[in-house]
Amino acid sequence: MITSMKKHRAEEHEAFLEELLKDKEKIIAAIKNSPSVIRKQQEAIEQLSKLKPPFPWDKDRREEAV
Amino acid sequence: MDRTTYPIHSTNDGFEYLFISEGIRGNILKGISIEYIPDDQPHFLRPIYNLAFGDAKLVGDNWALNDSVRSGNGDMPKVIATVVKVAVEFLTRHKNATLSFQGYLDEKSLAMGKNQRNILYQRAIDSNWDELSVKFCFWGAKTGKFEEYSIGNQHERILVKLK
Repeated sequence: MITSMKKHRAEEHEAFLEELLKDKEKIIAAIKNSPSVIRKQQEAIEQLSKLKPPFPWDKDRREEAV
Repeated sequence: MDRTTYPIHSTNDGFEYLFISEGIRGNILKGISIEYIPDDQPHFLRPIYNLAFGDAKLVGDNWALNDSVRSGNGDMPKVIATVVKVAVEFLTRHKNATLSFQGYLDEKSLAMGKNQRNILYQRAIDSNWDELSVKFCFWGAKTGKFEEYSIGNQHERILVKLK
């Protein structure tokens, strides 16, 4: 019974995957232009532009140079 | 990290990833998008990329990434481990890159004053700190300031780079 359920689940998964992968490029292109991805990108640009020195990695680089 | 992860399907350029979460609510398609942050950022951050993660959903005829949804598929550790694996692979391939990420701030997070998604990301980092900190440098950003990443200290944004 459990084996049969597992087999059914695996087949279901394979079918789902196969169907999705047919549209993989289309899905990926759409994801790239999703409002949430664009919003995340804008938030990151805004937040990172506000960060002021000193930056931890500047200290690391100075130590490396010595 | 030894945790089990889902098989990942990526684009040839390695900036977009898909995987399928399998859990109590069935198969849910998840997407990860890594975007380059433009050159007008301070030079020391370059090249820096932002990671966005969420459920890939069909809205009408179009697919879109939804980072606000709580799937409740009962496989959160495996999903987070898969996202971490993608980040690790990306940084290993782009050796000079800094990867920046921040979890979606939902209503529950706003009410509690804590970013629940970041807590999950940080839990994954913290629980594998011994291994990850050997290979990667981590920093946090909070209210406009950089800070050293420290276990247990919640950061608004996390930055990571290969050592």
